[in-house]
Amino acid sequence: MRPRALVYGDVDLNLIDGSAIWAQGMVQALARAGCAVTLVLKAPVRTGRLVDPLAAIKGVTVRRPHEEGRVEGGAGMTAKQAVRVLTEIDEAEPYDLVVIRGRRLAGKLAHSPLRGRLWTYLTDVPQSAPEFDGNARGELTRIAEASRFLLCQTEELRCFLEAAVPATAGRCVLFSPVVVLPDGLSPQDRTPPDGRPLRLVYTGKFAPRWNTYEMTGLPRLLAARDVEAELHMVGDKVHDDPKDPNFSRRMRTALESGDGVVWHGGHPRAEAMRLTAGCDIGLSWRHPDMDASLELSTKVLEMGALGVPVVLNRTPMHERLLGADYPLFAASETDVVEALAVTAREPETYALAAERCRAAAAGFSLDAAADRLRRYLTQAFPEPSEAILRASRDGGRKLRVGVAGHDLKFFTRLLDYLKSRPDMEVRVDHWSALKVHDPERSQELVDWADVVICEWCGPNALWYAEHKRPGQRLFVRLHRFELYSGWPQRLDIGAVDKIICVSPHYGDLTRKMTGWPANKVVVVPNWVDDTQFDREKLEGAEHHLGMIGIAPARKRLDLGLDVLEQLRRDDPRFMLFIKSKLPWDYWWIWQREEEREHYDQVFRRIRRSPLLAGAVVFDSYGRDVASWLRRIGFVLSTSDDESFHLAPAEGMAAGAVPALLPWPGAETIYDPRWIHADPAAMAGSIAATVREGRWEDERRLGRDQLREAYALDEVCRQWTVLIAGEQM
Amino acid sequence: MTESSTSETAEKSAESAKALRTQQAQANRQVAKLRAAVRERDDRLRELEERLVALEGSTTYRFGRIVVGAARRPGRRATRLPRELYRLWKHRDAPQRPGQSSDFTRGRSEVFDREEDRLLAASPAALEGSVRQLVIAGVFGPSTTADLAGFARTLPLFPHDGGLVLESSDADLVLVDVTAGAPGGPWAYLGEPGMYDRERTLGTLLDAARGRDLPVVLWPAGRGDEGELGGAATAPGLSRLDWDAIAVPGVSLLRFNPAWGAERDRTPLVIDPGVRLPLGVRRAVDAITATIGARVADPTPAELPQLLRRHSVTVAATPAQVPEQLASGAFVLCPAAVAGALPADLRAHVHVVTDPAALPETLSAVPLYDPRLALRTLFLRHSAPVRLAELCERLGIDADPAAGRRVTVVADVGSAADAARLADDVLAQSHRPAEVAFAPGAGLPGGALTAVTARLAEHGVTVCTRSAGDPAGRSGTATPGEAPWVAPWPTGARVPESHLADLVCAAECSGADAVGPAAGAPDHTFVAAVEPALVRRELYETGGAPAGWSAQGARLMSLDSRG
Repeated sequence: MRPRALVYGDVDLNLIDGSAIWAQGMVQALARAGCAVTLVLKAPVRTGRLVDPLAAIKGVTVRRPHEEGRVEGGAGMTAKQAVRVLTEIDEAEPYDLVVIRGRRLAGKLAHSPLRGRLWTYLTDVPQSAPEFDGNARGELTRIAEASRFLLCQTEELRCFLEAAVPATAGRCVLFSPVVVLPDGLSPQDRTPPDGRPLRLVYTGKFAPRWNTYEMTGLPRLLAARDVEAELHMVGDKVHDDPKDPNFSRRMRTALESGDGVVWHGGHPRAEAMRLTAGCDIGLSWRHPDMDASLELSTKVLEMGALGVPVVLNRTPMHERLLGADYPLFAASETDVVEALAVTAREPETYALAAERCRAAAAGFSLDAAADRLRRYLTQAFPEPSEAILRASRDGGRKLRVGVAGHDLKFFTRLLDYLKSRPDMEVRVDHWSALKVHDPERSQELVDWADVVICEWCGPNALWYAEHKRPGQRLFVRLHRFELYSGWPQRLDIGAVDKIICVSPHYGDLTRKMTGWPANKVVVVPNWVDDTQFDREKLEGAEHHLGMIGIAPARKRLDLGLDVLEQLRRDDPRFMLFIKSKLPWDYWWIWQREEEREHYDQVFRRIRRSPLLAGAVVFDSYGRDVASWLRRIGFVLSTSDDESFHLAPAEGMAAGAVPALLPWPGAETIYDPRWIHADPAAMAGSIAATVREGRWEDERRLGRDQLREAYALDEVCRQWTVLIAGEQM
Repeated sequence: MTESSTSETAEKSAESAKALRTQQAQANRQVAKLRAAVRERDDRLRELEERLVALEGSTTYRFGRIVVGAARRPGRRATRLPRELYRLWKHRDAPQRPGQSSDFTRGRSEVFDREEDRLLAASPAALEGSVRQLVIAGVFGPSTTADLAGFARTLPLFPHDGGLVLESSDADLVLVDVTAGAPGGPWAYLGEPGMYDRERTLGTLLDAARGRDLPVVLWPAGRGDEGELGGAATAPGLSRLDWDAIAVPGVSLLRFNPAWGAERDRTPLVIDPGVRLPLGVRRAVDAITATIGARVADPTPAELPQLLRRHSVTVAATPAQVPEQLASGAFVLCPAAVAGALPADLRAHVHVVTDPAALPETLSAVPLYDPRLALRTLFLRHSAPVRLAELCERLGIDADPAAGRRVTVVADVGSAADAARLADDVLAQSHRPAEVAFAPGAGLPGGALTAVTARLAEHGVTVCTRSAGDPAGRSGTATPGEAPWVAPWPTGARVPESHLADLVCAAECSGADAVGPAAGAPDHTFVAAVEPALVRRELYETGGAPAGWSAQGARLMSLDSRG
């Protein structure tokens, strides 16, 4: 069944600007990904340049609220009007997903019936930490909670958002700009000009920070280097700059009469690209103030799609796109002239630059966008299962699944998955504390659910076992601490269908300590949202060790420090980054004297050891783990005891190499190659991996292992089988 | 027990159990209600706090505080008033973060009850240096502390403790070194787009600094104005912030200096700047390297100084490499594009390469190369203490990073002509002494003494008198003055204007305790005895005869700087 997508971009498709190109690309990509798309127009159609081709695509419907009489007057819809119109259209026949662009609109839709189905494309977010105030954070939190996905143009934007607004973590996915070449244009093989002038091209607005005035001097400067050049300028918007009142006059003069400058004026996008395709090198060199942008210029990608190499600023984003050794990075006018002069004379350098740009642009094609959307659609709309439907009490209707527990942080993602299934209905009985709940609410769940899952084998499990309805199935997930709490021993195991442990070791331990029938205890591992964690590593990460969660004392931060000290004896670039609450943030830990003594020693050592001073950084606890792991090359697990220890698994999904000490059961969860006898062995292995250049291979292996065993899709499949009552 | 009583007992037990469960459920509901009430009260409290912050953040309120603050402390606050008002105007529309003190001039201390209590806290800096030692807190790169050692006391701030350390520190300014964002350090990735946590933490530190009236200074990776020739991609997120100064650091002659007397490797050396070079420079460096067979090295910051000292010829791939290589005593080859980005006085000391093919002949002259002129230029204009002193003056900081270079000239003056010549020579010195201590001879008219004293004082040179006697003053008594160096002044001959500069530079580079001519010894050589031209004060006053200094462990360097 094709998902039905409603798309509204708060854009006027009579103007061909960046936002209109976005809308066009989104509609095309959704259609190609298999959706039935309805595009709602903001403004009455005055020119069909963009709209008509979209309406002609099979599966795409264009709704015109003004013509349909939903909106009066000829002005584009306000956000308020758009909310009303979209809600009305959806009410008539609900859509599976609602793709929108614009923070203001999203903020209003967050309170509408479309809440929960929004796929929100955010561009107008604060771009720096000081700009993030409580209002912005609050609004973006509401938008995040109302959105299924937050579509981010770049990894930089995604990471920034997740750190600034915790509610966005786990919901942000990448949706890069879509570059679609107009008909008749395609990438060409190119060589530097021979026997004719070098043709430079710039398209866009003329404004001071875009260095457009400086560009007009390039033909003259290149002539001094014996390189004959022309600069082709396409565009007609000359900005007035209050700080430089003479700019517009100066700019016009240069456009009209600059040496070697050919001003083509304003042109539609297709024509501008055709002119670009006829040139040799594009210019996207800007003032350094713009280097910190979280957005990517589509002009650069369009030129790359045409096979035209581009001169642009060196930024971390551009380095990842084109390679740190891309030859046409430039910051100053001198750099630009040098780069152009050299490239004009060296065919191999020109070819390298063109190829890098073309390869980079390939990742932004319509097919690439459609692939990405298909993955998100699969994630958002899993296929229904006959086995699940059979398992419902009345057969053929949705299976009713109840989840009960006081702390659902390790269950949230699975809960999202269960809720997204078309063959399940899910309700949650969230206990306010380990032992505190509303019995009436719990009883309602008992009366309603076909299946109840108790997260943690605590008082919740005892209560539900006691109140279980005949024919109802009850599953209890046991982690670790419960085994030593006494509750499992009081559990009526006869009322429980399955106890789920997260590791084989804890499965065995549970059977041993409780004496429960062996077949009652099954193992379904913890999952890692591998697609969320799969992000590009930051440069230099191979020297960064990471630990996630260092409390209580059994996490053995001191052993992590042993590893770090040994590494830093030979290479002071090794660092330890810790993402965790501090032990005094947990009252039940800090009230224990032995815990305080342990940490007193550990922190004293960090402060005073010459090898550790300045080498250990405590980063804030938060949900932005995936973004944080980009800076980590090795994730350590030095605990005395763990049931699963998610940290190394998350590290593996993020492309870091795991490094574990042999806590009981570690070898049943992780490949023994990652387990080391003691801190000295761990340090030796890490040092050798980096020194011998094996880090890339090792981390790739770790990521593949993780995907095979603990990827979210696989673990969800196992839970689905379990809930369906089938054999595992 | 009968069956009926058993059944009654069971019934009663069941009823009791049910009653207990009911009571427990009621208690649980009560707990849930109380929790809800507490949450609601917390929400209201939070709302009130936000309103208070909003009030304190209003432009009207902030304007009033700035003006009142300047009126209360007219000296320093008044000079900063225009800048603070400008900043207030510039950021008038900027949102305020919750919990942030919106006034740039006042951050609420978490350590001190009253801000004035800070004045009571003893500073460890007092144990190490003078009252006017510069104390720099900051976000440091791999070599910042080493580059500042000897000229300033440094307090590194880390992401998790920066606020606490800064709050309780006795710092004069907060410095952010762009190289702190390099991987392999606590602030890795600072300044990279998307690093919200680092950016926010830095923002909090900068706000705290401003709250204490501490200037905030950015130390760029390159020289700041030469585009890509800055080397590694500078952190774009940093350059867009608001700084009181962007200061190019000077070279530390304590770190980078020639290894005089040691044999040098004649193989030219290139310090690999990596792939991040402009294309034109990359081509030029590659051409030079290939032509002269240079060795390419990638040392750590700790290894770099020693590596440079071991080579007689180096190739500078970026402008930032030039001062370090010149200071190390090397003959520096520079591609034209790199040289073009240098200030004129440094460019004069490098060999600009326009035709690599001509290099082999050029290099044949290297054994004759004397780095002294380059060192003099660096010492006077491009070294760390000079740059730091300029920064202090610009920012109104009462500190003297160049205190270690201060010299007391000691001289006997027998006549008015001697006095006038002394004044001429002293004032002509490119490195002017801080003090002159001279013993007036019997033949010196009182008026001449007064005139010389006034003339020197007019140019900031303090004059003090001492007893006549051995000009070296080696009588075990204190020599007037406070400067760490004492320079016995040669009488009877004109002294070149570079005299003190060369002496102090040699001492700073070598760590010598005394510098001066040594018969038969080449310049810049450690020797057993010197004719003292520059001596550490404590050695001068208590060391006895110079012939015995070496035996006491003093390091003596030969240098005849009289021309």
